[in-house]
Amino acid sequence: MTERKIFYLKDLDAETLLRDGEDEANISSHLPIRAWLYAWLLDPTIKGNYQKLVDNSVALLILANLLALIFERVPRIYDPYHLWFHIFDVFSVIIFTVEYGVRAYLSPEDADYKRRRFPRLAYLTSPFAVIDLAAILPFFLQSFIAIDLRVLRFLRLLRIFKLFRVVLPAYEQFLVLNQGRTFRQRLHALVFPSPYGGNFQQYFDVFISFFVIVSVLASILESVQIIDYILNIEFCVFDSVAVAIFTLEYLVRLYSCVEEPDFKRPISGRIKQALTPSTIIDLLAILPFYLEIFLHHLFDLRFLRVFRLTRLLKLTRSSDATAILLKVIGREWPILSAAAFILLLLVIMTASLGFLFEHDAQPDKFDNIPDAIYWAVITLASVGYGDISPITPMGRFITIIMALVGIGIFAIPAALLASAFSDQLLKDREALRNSLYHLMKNGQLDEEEAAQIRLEARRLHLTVHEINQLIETAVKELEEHDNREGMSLPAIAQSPELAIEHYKFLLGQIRQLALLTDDERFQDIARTKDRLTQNELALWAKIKD
Amino acid sequence: MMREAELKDAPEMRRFFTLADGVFVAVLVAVFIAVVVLGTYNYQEAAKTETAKREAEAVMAWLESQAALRDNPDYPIAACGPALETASLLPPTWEACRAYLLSQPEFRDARNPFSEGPLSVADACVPGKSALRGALVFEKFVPAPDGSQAPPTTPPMPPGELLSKHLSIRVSICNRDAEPVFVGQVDF
Repeated sequence: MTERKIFYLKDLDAETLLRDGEDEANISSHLPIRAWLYAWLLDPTIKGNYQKLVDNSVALLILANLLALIFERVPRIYDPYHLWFHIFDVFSVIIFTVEYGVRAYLSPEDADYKRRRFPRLAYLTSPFAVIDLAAILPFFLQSFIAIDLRVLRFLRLLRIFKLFRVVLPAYEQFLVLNQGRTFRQRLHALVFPSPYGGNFQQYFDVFISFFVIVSVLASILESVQIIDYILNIEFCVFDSVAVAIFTLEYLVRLYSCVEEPDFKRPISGRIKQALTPSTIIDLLAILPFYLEIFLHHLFDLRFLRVFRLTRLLKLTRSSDATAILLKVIGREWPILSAAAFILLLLVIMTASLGFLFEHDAQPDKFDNIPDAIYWAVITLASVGYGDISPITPMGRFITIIMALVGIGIFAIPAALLASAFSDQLLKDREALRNSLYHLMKNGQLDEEEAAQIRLEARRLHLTVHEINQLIETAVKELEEHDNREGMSLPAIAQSPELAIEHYKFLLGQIRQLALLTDDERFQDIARTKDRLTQNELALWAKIKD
Repeated sequence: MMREAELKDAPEMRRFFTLADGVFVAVLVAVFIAVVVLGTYNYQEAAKTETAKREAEAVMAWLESQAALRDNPDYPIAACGPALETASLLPPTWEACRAYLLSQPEFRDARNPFSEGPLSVADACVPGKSALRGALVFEKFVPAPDGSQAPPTTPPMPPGELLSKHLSIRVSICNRDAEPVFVGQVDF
């Protein structure tokens, strides 16, 4: 049983709170050199050592090797740069050889082998060590034996199996977390964030993100004629692989979504999931591939290739910023749509006037109202390409008015969004302060509560200083609340200072209530059952906003 | 926390793998096979485009090699010669030179990878017109006059174009969607 770490209120410091999990490793310098090296470099049980850094660096080098292997197949790239490819290969082999040697040397410290009679031999014959050896052996063998280049490249492909060193422990953790759970629940844990996903789910996300980024890059580079000429077939293969992966991911999401609380029904739940923005984005990411293959005989579908860039939107699934943006747009939608309506009105009216005054003078440029709309938008937005400009006095007068009004009108939605963003951030911070207040009621934070705060602080991109400020405010309020608790209301009312603090406390409680309750139902019941007066309801709306 | 969730699942006593899971896995495998088949088809089509590109590059190389020799007075290929003063009875035109080029053994035996027929030549690629896939396209590069803002033009090489003067020839092929893929430009 491990001891629970408690963060006491009196000595609570945000730096300690935020840094937890990223602590500096507590490794004694008096250890024998082998044990000391193992503890710093390879021990997965010590938090804050370099084990993750070593694993991630090796994983990156393996991916770079894979890319190099792909490009080596392209003579136009390989021939002029073959020396650089060779240098990179030598560099990789040196790193992998050092890694192999270090792991072999330190294996007697590894819990899996230290009890064996011949720990190093046991390690060297383990699957991981055999894969490590297979990754470097061909390089040394080719110095003694003539090996066909294709065979050599195939053997170098084995380096990718080294990634199992990172993936397998995550998979084992995933199995432990999902013990006793059904196949569908496991699929759900793999593709949706949940407490059952562990590191394996994170690696799955990284894997999908890697394919998203590379396939979007490929789509962009395809538009560069010379690159497309050289790498066309590689792009084609990569696109097929990416679509296969995205298609399977899409199907797994649709199948396992019924494990989500909001999508429980087998058919309607899945339809509901299919209609969510993120799943529509997933579909848009794969649809162009199928449409192009099946329908290119009937229609010119080249325009669909642009839609492959929508794959980038898949990354928004894991982005908090996008969630905040959507929340803000949703909240400010009535005002934004009102601004858009005014803008539309202004564009149509000025375009009509522009057409009226300029058509006779410039029939080629102000041929019709749609042409004039283009001119109106370009002028109102202060872009001013200058390809269409008025020449009549009235047309110029309208342009002056438009340019002046346009600055204000176009700024409205931007200002609205900016203020709504900052408002949302304030609200989220208020919510964090409230939860800090709530969590600290017993005067201490346990690890779970600290982890919750860490997660929220990261989501809101708060610095240690900002968290410290929030903690200080919460601590101060808590102390004041404790002071007030024993006092009656008339006693509090005696001191305006205390009364203000009590009033702030009550407001905070109402805001917290608004955050925790279903506001829509609250207002519905209050209205339909006459539980609150109009004034009380208006006050509620004012306080919670 | 985890224990609670596990206990919540326990009373249902759900089987690890149900019939629905089996059907889903079957669908998944079928879709995977379908994507592999489509991917292979895509690869094969792209490989045909690559073959067509290699053939066009060979044509380019031939034109380049002849361009260096054409000015010699004793240039032996009358159809591609530079001027009317050659011994040939016919003035050297692009049509004659192209016919000579395609009659050379390396091009005579080459196949259009899409139609499996002999190498074909088109005036221009027309996206969607599958008969043009793999065809070679020769265009005449006409630079804009000095001081003009207009872009250079690339009309199809007129068959009767006289080879008495040096020409800039652009070589392209039509890919699997019959879209043009520029291969290179040679001063002939």
